Amino acid sequence: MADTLLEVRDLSVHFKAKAGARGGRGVVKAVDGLDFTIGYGETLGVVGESGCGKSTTGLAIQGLVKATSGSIMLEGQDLTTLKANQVRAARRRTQMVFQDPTSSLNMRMTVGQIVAEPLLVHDTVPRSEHRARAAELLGLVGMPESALDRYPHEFSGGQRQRVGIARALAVEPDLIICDEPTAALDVSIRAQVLNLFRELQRARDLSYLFISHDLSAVHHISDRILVMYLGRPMELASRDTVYNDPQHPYTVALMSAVPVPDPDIERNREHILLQGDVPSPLNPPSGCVFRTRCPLAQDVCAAEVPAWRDIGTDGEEHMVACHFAQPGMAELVAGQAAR
Amino acid sequence: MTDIQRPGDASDPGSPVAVTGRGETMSTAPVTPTLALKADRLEGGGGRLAFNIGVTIVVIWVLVALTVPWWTPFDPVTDQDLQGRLAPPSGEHWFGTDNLGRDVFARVMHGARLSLPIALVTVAVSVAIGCLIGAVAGFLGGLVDEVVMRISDIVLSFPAIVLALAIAAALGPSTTNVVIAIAAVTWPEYTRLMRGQVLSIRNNLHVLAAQSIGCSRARIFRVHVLPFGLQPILVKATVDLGMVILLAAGLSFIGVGAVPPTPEWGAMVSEAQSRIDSWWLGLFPGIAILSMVLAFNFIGDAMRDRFDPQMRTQRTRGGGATSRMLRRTLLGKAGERAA
Repeated sequence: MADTLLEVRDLSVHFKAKAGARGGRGVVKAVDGLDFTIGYGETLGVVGESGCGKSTTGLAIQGLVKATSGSIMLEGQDLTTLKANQVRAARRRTQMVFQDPTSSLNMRMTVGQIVAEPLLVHDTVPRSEHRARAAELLGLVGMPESALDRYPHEFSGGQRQRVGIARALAVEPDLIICDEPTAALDVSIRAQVLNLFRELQRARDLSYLFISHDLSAVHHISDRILVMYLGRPMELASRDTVYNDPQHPYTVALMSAVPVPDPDIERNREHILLQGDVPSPLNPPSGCVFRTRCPLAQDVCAAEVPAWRDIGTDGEEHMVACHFAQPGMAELVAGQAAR
Repeated sequence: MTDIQRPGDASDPGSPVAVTGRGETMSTAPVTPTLALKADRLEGGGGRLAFNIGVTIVVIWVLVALTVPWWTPFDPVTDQDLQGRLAPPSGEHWFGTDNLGRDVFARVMHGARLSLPIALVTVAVSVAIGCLIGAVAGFLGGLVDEVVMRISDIVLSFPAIVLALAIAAALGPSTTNVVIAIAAVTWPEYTRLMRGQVLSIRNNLHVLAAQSIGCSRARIFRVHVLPFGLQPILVKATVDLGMVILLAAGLSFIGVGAVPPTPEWGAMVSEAQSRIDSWWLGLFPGIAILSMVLAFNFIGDAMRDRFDPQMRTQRTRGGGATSRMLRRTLLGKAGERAA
């Protein structure tokens, strides 16, 4: 694809686990064999349970954790091979918005200083223009200019998140990594912030990596969705495909957890409850990592790691990692789960 | 009774319910209104009262130290009157005279000119060295951290006064060496405190955010880590001002501090030792030391109550140990009950 901004190939992030309570020492595969791309002006939603490696993926792209293997190509430049001093410069191209706007802002700095800090650090704009630029950025996210000299604690959670977004926009990045940007916000504020993200995207041709476990937020904002489980990719397809025709049993289970805003449907539809807990990433199952909780699991699932393959039709990409991926998976899983 | 009427209970002076300065209502049924008011005054600002007393004492001493040569009629060293030696306190010599016939009042007042600068300089040196080392150790971690902390452990494992004594004795008796000796034994406490602060601050989200913006390590350290660790340091430094005065007096008492003709409180108490029947020789410099140490403790206590969020819930009960003790002494059982 010529219009690819970010290309992640076979990305793995492993952590050495410290000796635990049971004296176990090992490697936590926080992210293992992840492949995806993000196009210009596109939003890729990343969903999955807590601890499935969503956030680690974001941190790896931003260079805040070191990739163990694989490549992260931003416009053809591999971010994983950069030297320390180049990494800082590369951070200008991608910026992050964090989950908790209260703790991600330095409460001792004024809003103006916070928003202008990236400018100061990357020296892209002369110092004399920082204030005007910060005011402009605040305007962009719907904050008054009077906020410049005030401190974060004087604002509400939603407003603080706007400040966080303004800061991310300051150096005009191509990609913004949003790590659960709405999770700490009230439901009423969530929609406002999501809409702000969309408006900014339209106005500045931004790309987002939108990490969340809020499936409705992801549905609202994403073009394509990547489903992760235990550090591994499960399914990657356009938003509508993932929501309407998921072909991985895990995606099916995940989607059935999204409440439907119609009581008649909600009352009668089948909820798929997965049995058991997410296995320990220290000791993942052999073969397909999802097999321990999968209603369709067969012998082959323990023996062979399912390939990450494209099953899309009509040239539309639809990646899935399941031996039994097929259309109508939803009904199949529902049938199996009912038995 | 009229003097105890306040807006809260003006309509009913005998009301069993007292309104505290913070607007909280609490039952003080078994306490008479007068006592309730007294308790309330200390209650609303138990820490504040101690703080005010402390500040008042310190301010008086500072003023004395700055102006004493212009208003004491006697020189503390040269005005000797061997005829009138060891005279008890009188109208002319308020605090009596010592064995060389020098005015004890003048000597005690001039003592502040010595003790205050010693305390300030020592604590400043100790804080500067200790904080810097501790912050760097906590921030860099690894081998640097390990080496620095083991060295500080070694210093801390000696009783402070003993080590200070050894250092001061090795360097020879002089005021400068007192500063060096005390700073040499007190810095590791700041190192430990600061390191702990930095270790916890380092994991704050705003530090990760600063990293993701592209801040250099130096900037993160200076802007996003260091300022957040200084509050407990400030509190400890205040309390330590008193401790250092005591330590310096102790060294002079033993004879390794200020040299004899100098009007130093510890040295004066030391001299008084052999003339126990001339009680004024030791009592007045002793009170001077006590007032200074107590004052700094009051201030430090009040500051800790203010800054430490865990202590904050207790602040309504008058906060720090010193002020609690003070309140109990002043009010006895009734005060405690009211609290």
